[in-house]
Amino acid sequence: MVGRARSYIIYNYFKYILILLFIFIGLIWLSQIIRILELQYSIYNQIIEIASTTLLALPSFINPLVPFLILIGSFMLNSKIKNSNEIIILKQYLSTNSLRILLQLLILFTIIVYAINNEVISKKFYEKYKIKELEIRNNLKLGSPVQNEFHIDDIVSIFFDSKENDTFYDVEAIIYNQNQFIVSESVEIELSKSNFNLVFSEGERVILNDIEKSKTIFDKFTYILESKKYEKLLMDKDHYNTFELISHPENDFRNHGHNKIFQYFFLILVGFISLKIIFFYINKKNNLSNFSFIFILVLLVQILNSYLIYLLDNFNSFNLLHFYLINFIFLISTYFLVNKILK
Amino acid sequence: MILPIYLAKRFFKALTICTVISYSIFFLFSLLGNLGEKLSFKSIFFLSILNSFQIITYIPSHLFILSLCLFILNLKSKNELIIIKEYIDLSKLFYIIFPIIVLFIFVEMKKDDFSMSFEKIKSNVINSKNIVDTKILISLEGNKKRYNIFNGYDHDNAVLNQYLSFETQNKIINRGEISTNLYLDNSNLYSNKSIIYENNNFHNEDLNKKLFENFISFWSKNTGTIIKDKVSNINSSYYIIQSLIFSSLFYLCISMIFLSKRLVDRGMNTINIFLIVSSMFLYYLLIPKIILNNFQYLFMLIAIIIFILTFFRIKQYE
Repeated sequence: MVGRARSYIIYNYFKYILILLFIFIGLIWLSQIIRILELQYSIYNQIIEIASTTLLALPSFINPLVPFLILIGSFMLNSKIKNSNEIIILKQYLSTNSLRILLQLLILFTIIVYAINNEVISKKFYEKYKIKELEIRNNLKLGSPVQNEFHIDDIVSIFFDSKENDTFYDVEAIIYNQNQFIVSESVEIELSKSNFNLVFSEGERVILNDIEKSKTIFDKFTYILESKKYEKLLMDKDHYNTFELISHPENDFRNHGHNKIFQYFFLILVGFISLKIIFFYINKKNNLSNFSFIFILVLLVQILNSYLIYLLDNFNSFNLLHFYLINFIFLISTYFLVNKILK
Repeated sequence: MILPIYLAKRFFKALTICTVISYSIFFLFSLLGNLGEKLSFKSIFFLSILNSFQIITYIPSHLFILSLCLFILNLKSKNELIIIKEYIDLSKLFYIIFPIIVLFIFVEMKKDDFSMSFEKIKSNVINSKNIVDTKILISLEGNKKRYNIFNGYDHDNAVLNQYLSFETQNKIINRGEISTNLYLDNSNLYSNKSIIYENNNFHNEDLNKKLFENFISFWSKNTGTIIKDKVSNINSSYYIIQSLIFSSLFYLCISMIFLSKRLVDRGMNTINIFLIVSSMFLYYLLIPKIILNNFQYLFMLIAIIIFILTFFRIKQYE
């Protein structure tokens, strides 16, 4: 009976956390896809490619959210076992000792999964993601044509009748910075060295600005998009695990490594709080206000930690000792405060 | 009357919880992502607040689904759902939820404007100059095509930096005009001096003339950069109607799924319902993003028909 009660709690605890993880990571994933689609007007033939690429970034999105999802999952589990009065039965059947073992097991398992994702899985997937993302970014560097219009930032607008691969036909184009207007048979996008070029064929061009007023008839006219460079892969913080970050020569990479270490302690704190939440019961009392307070408190700890990373990155007088000291003072204070609320 | 008020209160509570949680998660996600930016922490913090609002405007429908889900789970856990379904039929439940659906449809219709506003505020925060201050009006007159390009409009001081215009006919540039000596009077745009290209010649025109009627209203009404005269008005009203129908049908279908009799049954297949809702949600999000060069109207019509059929299919069970 006790064993079953334990498995019941473990099953429901992870069920809620996984459902929340699935929902929120799914939402972030969708918002990423939609944001890219919004930015590029519409990339109807590349939705699958963007979706599969952003999917690779999801493991690295998970880590910062895990503590909060654990917290919300515990609120939900508490609400479930409280509403069905199971909490009274569970408290009667499970002794303090068996509860402690159960709690330790849950925290340990969560930390192991978190660490594997943090140090191995997210790093591997992020490497693949960055390579694919760069390919897409370079392919879409100039945006994507839609509804017979093609706008490259605020540099050029091309209005065309038809398109085949990288060539547009029956073109009217505006080049904004020199007030140029071009009518041509076609325009081709070509990549030369690190720049993108627009090669117009068979047409005429009128320039109207303070310096130049001219009309030209051309067979071929090339416009170089100088501000649109072909991007190269840069290694960022998510390419490294905690140990590699700590030994990195750059300061902000090392700071990020220390932040990753702090996140383990933060997760342990949230783990302890969440287990207190699961079995929190006061007869006929609504826990919403208590839970909201705890949620905001934990959120504040994370916001403060973000501020401390900012200080660490930007102010030499603020060092690692300050970072850990302030963070741990807040962690311990939060734990005692939550303990007081959930007594 | 007590029961509808009770239900409305419960729904708003669920909506508030879901909004706060979603917002906090997105905020945190944005905050950690923005920490690498070379900005002050205050700007990063403010930018994250705006980012989170923007993510919510990208997918406002998720709040409706999550809130409805939490609302139903809450009612079910206390066995209230059976009693409510016994006393109130589906149409009455719709009356209660109707104002919320209208609110969400309104947000859906305006989400691009909201997102654009957040983008503008974000650009101000990071002092980016990406804010669109150029508008192009494309108009057709027989086989003549005209491009009017308005550049650098300062709304506060009612000043426009440059007016540029080109006219084409049979793939030849017929006429061009540029003026930087501009002023606004009674909302109309006037030029004191301009340079004109016509019949392969350039000449100066030192003449006070009206270039554009009701410019201020034109600028504020048209939020996009490219504005197509006449044809676009028909297109945009068609677009508004079809997205209104599309959104309404989506919200109706989702509400019907969550408020249906099947959910009262304790042995119902949760995974089945989850899959239906997720598929509809994905379909609803991605279909408007697909823009075809041809047959776009037909494509959207098919999407609407699919939702109508889904609606009747769900209604059949009730």
